[in-house]
Amino acid sequence: MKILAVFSAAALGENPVLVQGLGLDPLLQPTAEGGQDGVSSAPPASPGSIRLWTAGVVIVTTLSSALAWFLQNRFLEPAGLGYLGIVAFTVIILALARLLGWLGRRRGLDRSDGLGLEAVTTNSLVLGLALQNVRGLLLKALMGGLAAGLGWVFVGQILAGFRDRFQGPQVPPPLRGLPATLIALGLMALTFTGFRGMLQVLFFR
Amino acid sequence: MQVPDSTRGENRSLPVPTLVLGLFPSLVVARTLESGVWVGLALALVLVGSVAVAWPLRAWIPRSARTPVALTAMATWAGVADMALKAYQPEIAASFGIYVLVMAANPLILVWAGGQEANRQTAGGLLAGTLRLGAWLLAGPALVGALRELLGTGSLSLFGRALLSAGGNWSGVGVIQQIPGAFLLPGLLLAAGGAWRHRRAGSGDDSTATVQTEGGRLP
Repeated sequence: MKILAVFSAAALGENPVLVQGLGLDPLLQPTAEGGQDGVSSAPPASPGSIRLWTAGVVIVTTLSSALAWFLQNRFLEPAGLGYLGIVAFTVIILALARLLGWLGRRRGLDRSDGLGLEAVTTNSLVLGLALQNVRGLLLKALMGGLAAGLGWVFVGQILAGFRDRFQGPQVPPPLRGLPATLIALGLMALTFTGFRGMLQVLFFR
Repeated sequence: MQVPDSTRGENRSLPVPTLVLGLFPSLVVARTLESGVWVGLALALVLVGSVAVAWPLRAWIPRSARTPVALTAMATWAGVADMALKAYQPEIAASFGIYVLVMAANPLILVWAGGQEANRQTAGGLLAGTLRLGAWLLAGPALVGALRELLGTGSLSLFGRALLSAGGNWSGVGVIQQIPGAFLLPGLLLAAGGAWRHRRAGSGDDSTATVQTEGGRLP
């Protein structure tokens, strides 16, 4: 039951995007840059690449949370070097992202030009979760990383659902694209804060 | 905002939506003018510090390693900013939580500090671009923080000095100072800017103006 509570809290009540504002850049960067508008020279990513990148983010959030916990609690804190955690976590995330990108290219899964998977998996979501999950138990860090990663995917799926509609002629021109998306995120954030109360009643009463 | 886009090898401006997006997640903790100023100062410190480390080393670092080096430099400077805030502004640092350290993954700073082309520019061009981007990182959170404070509480203060008060019975809209406000306010500001530009561009079919104000077509 406690694991379920931690999982629900990390994915819904403490959703990394809507309640903490983490991991917005990989979700909204295509919205900000546009795909074929002349602003971005990169071709739109294929659905396969997007699925791979999404899985990559969840894997990196989970593994980096666990590794950061281990490094902080077993090596840095005992040696009085806790303040070096941010640099160590960044190196861990970079190494994991590079390893995943290498595996993706070797298996022929990541066919994007340039960094692809590595660029997507190095963001504020992964770093923020690694910093948050160093307190408590290792299992909690692992579950927290996984659940928050899935919470990020959940919001990404919702955004993908209404992204195209926000470009249609029914939306007033000044609101099209990022402005409408940010306003929608704000309204969704209001809704998600309600999950906190619901989870309190369900699990912590 | 004329910040050269170093990632594409061309000296073109980043679109306004990308610049706004680059302020996240730091905007979440810019709830008042004062917190916005401190967030902006921390962001500017991370930018200037990481450029100062990454640029002189560019000749010795292979192209493929420039982004990791820039990220490590950003992490170091984010740590410095966090420790400085904890030492001199402990209350502000406590309210910021992990958000100062998360600046180590700021996409705008990474574009500039780790950009491939930025490293080949002249020192003067790099300095001017860094100052322009630093000014944006300083002013953006301060502006959003000021508006959130004004709309959220009905008054505005900086370093303990009252600057403005709505007066009357206006008690503010509390939600603006919470997380939803960090999304709603920039969205509304972008929309207002877009409406203003759209009006300036005229009511004709001006697709260029539409792209630049709204962020363009979504993939």
